[in-house]
Amino acid sequence: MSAPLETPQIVTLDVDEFPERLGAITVRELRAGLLGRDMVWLLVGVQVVLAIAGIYSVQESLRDPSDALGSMQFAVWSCVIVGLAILSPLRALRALHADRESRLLELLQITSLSAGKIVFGKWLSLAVQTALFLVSLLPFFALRYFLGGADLVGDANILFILFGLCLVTQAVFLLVSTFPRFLRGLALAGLCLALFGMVGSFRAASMFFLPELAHPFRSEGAEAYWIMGYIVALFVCLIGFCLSLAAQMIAAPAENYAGRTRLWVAAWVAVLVCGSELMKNPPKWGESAIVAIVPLAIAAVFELSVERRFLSAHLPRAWYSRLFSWLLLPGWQSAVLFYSILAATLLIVAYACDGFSHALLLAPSAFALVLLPRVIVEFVPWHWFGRRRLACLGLNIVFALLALAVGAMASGGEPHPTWPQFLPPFGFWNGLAWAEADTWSPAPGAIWTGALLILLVVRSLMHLEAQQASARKAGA
Amino acid sequence: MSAPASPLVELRNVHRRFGDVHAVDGISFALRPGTVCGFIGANGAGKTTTLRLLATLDQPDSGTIRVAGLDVVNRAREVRRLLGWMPDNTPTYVNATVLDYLDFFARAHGLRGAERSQRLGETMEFTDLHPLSKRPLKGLSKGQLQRLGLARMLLPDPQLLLLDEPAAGLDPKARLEFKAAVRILRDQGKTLFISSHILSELEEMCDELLFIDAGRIVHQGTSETLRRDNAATAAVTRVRITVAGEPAALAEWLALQAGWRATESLADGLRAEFSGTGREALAVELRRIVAAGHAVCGFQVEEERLEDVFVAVLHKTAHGGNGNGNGHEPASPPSTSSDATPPPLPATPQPPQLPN
Repeated sequence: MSAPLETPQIVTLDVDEFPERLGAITVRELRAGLLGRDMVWLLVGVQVVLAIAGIYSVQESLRDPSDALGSMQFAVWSCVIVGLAILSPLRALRALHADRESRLLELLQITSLSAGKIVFGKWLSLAVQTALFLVSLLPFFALRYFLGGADLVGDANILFILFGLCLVTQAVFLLVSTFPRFLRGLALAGLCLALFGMVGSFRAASMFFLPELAHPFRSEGAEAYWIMGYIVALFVCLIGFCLSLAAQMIAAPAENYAGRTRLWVAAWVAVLVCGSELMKNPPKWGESAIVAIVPLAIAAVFELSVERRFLSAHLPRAWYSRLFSWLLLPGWQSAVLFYSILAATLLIVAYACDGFSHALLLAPSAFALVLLPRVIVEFVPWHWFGRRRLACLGLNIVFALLALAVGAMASGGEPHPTWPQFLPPFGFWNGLAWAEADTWSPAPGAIWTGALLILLVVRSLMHLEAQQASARKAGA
Repeated sequence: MSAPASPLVELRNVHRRFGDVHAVDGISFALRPGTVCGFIGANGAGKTTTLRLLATLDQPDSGTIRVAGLDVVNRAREVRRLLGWMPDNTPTYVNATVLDYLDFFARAHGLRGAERSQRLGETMEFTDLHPLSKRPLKGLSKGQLQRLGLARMLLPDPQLLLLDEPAAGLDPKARLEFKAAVRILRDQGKTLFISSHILSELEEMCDELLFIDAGRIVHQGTSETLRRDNAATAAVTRVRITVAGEPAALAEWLALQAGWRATESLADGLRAEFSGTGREALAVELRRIVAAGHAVCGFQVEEERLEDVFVAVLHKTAHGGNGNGNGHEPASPPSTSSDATPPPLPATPQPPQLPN
């Protein structure tokens, strides 16, 4: 501390290697990521492996031109899979956790960076690094093409899907990195199951009712654009939802990311319903509306676990303030109302398009399963046993496992024609209904759902009114 | 006569609980702009919690906190533009260099282009970090990290600087540098709020001292007001007695005398408290000691150390006294914390720190 601030000796500093419009976090993460040991080793290692494989393939092609691609094919795709499916997502897993542990997040919170900018900057830098990794592989794809026999359109199909899935996984892992240590392991196990499920559902969809999904670039004309657009829109919604939820997890108390998260959920549901239906001929809106209950349930499980105190900073002051204060405020009370309206909309769509029984059989059960833990947490003094939020999340997980068990028992190990009814989060209520009355009647599930919903809505309205009044008073 | 400046920082009846622990228990105080205020308390007294509340990193359960008239909970974004926060350790990125780290925070504070370059130059010059600009953070010493933290905090040129244990773990040279920096910042009109449990260093730097114990403010004022208030009620005189030969004999003799209590053993004598005041009474006691055969080389009345005064204040508040020094705000009810118990007599001189 040699000189006072009044007489600074201005020294030119070399800090302009990134454009000003890039966010602070993105610049920092790119600096650290691109120069980090793991990224350097990944790029160098992949180039070395592929160069050796390339030389070997050229020699093989000179000897036997019919089998020139074998080793090159294996090496390139191994590198792509390892890089995109394993290493790149794993880099996201500690991204926010490390900053929280070292208390860097606190320092960032008192800068002009919002939680949203922090999370998005981290994800963007990871995405850019993944893209760079892919670009570094392009010469070897070109080499494969010149060696002969390579299907560049097929390669582009797979790379497109893999890159998209990698970006989604990075967003999901960023979200997981905001969880406490003991929850991260649990979340990872669940994610592995979900990822297998996603791959499985893509495979099933492409096999049974949407064969174009397997080769989106092969479709022609408007259909190809629809399919590509649908996949991209789904990825964008999923990424937006995960990043918004991650921001909600690390945000300072006065920041409200609940509204943004819920709008992403609404977009996700809309894309799922409209997108898939527009590709069908003729459309079956009812089925998609019921499938869309799944993202709604996933989001509601998170949101109904959140305990937040309202601040006057959360209360908007524009004409839409009343609507916002009911539907987009942080905390479970507002979430109950928002997700009830969204679920009701889906039910109406399903009912209008596909008939009464189909709609009532699955959707209320799913929604009841999501609501039930919140009801238990709200009306039972769980704070005696620790944090209510964790109790709520834990109960949701227990109910999901129960649903699996009941579903497995109810189907007796045999594939049932209506097997989706037993999957979490549908299975529990339907299993109970089946066990109780030996029938597929939706009545018990619907009655229970109605009762739970009324209880919870009344409770949330009471909370909302009281807390808003208190926040307005504090703000004044 | 000009009107007094409105407070830059104002806390009113602030409470913060963590489960059963009442970390902040109804504290109220105010700071004028341009003040250097020391925030003193033992570990666990509530210093860091109070600072985090001020830094918008936490919310009070009840009560209001305002910085420049803005509520820190409801207008956190605006408050953050006014303050700089330096935690007790400097969190760093593993792979970054000093310049990368500061450039990142300059960008994060919204500084762009030439302005960013200029602020970086100014703060690095002020904290003497230019020679280290290309050094990786993981190789920096504690003192260098502290300078880095100070530079990071100063980048947006904040009005209010919150420093949590800034001198902990620093070597003497780094402490001197830190004190010099505080003086310069005070001359620039910044308001500094510095928490520490090392009283001596705060006494030199601060215009005002705030003492906290068990989440309650037990005194607000200067070191002089604290001594004066304590002296007004204290009926003891602290004396340092130097003897030729073994001081243990003198300690044993004093232990048998009414009104005397040995408080600290020294290599060449001891410190003791005499429950009486006045030069005549002390002269009589000195004559008695000499008459008892002790070879007294020195007999010096000592000004009470701030640590001792603080411990006495804690002791008094624990037993129902009022530690409020200057009447800025009513002091909180007396503490009942066991921290208020005076520390055991150390065998050798210790660095001036509060009991943990």
